[in-house]
Amino acid sequence: MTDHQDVRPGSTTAAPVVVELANVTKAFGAVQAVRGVTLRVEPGQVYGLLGPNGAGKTTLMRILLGLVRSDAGTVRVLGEPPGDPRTLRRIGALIESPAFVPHLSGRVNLQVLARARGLPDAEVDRVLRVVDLEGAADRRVTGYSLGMRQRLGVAGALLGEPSLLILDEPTNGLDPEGTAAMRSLIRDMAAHATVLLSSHLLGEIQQVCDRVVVLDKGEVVAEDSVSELLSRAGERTVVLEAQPADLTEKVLKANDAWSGATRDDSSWRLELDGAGVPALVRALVEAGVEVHEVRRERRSLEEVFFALTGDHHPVRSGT
Amino acid sequence: MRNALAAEALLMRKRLAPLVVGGTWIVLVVAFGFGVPYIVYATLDPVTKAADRAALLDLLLPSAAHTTAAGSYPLFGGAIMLILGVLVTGPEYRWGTWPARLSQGPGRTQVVLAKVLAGAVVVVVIAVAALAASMVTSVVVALVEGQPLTWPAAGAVAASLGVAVFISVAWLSLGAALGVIFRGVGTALGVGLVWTLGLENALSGLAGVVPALEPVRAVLLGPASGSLVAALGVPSLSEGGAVGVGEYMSGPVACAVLLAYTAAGLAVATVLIRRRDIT
Repeated sequence: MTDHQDVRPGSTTAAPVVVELANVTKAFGAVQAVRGVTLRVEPGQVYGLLGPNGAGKTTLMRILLGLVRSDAGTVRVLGEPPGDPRTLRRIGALIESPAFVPHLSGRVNLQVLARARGLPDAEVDRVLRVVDLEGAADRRVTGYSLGMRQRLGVAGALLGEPSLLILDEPTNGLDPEGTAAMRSLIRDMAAHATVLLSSHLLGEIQQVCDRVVVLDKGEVVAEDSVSELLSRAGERTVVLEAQPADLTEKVLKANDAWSGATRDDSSWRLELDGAGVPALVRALVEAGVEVHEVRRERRSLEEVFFALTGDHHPVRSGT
Repeated sequence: MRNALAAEALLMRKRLAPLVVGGTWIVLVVAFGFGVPYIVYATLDPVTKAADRAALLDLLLPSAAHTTAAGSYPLFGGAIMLILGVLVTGPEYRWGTWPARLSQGPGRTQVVLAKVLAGAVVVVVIAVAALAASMVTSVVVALVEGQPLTWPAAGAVAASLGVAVFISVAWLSLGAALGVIFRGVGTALGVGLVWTLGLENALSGLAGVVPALEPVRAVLLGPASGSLVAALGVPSLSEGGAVGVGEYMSGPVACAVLLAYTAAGLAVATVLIRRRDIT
């Protein structure tokens, strides 16, 4: 399902686009929540939104649902402007923490949503089974745990088997078992629907998503397939292990291309493209250095994320 | 619209608010429309106040139960229905459920209209229940006082019921708009009740001594409600009737004012929900 083709708006492609944003901007008063965001989600993709607090992820999701109007730019969801009533029936959404009428049961809350979509109560029973919440369906939502509310929210998003699922932090509050089940559910859902999800768990995005957009301060700082993003971000970092350290240091300092290397005991990290590695090894060997290992460092998505956003703190759910 | 209405009807049926508001209103109608006047009647001297007693008893018998019930609406009924209106829209902000409500398919206008329409259905049920409770109470009074059970004409009962619903829907619509304007329940209730029970009464009272304020009174919801009830033949407070009832304007003008408030409340709620970002 991973997509490596150029899918920027304006490019020619035969596949119908599920979500298309071009230069979308949104400000709340003096706060610029989204700045010129352009992205495109193809059918069947599991598309991840990553970004620190206030990056604009939830605002983008609200824009797609027509809950928030963009100030500028073009938005198309399933080929229609956001908020189109017929289109909304084909979208399932869970935005931020799931909200329900607290003193009503989970089942009644879902029935209210189902009736608004013109769906029978049997559909409510189906989605309750999918999220494994049948046993608690007739209890008041006010007595639900955070994880149960989250599953109820996902159940609401699944009503009517939508073509597009928009899930904002779907694993929030779930225990490890629930998180794994949700991950599996998202993958299952991707067989019938396109999934757009944000998560503060970078590992989850890495495991679940085909493609990812990294947002920071409302701007897109990277947009690619997860594998490409990891590969691109990690390809220049080389780890060198060599002895003796002082001689190695001397060789590295002698060349401007290597002088930025950082040392950690008997290993060094330096930025180097593919062609530069043989030259480095040759210079070290000619100087009498014992080269024990030269390897490319593969960064995790978390490291890539921090590198892209310049953030040094764990990512949390955002605006 | 059908889907939106089905959803809102289910929500309204399952919520506690209509039961609490409706139950409270029925108790108030019985207590202040019949209970308190009956106590006054029972404490009046049968010899020196015989005429007053007879007039008071007439209002408590089945033949006048429908108008006595309607006479409760202009002041306290309005306030109660305003509370119901606020509870139709306001809690969605507290619960954070507007995003879910507005992303299921029905448009924003449809959702707001469905909410108020579902509220209007509740208002009809409450008005019928209050009328039924009034009838039962009046039968009890008649039996206790040994009076004959004379029933009002069906048309007169229907007219009273219609007036009660008409007044209630106008207040409900105003309350729904306040819930949206103030994005919640607390402030909307505070402002609504201060306006209804305080400022409207003050302005209406002042208009009696300051003629310049009469045009202002002519566009207030409370006086319009009181005038419409007066048009049914319900006596004003000075005539031994209910608080808030009075011929401040003609029946048709009162109807126009009530219609204007209903339309304005709906329009304000709809326009705000349509224009605002739902966050």
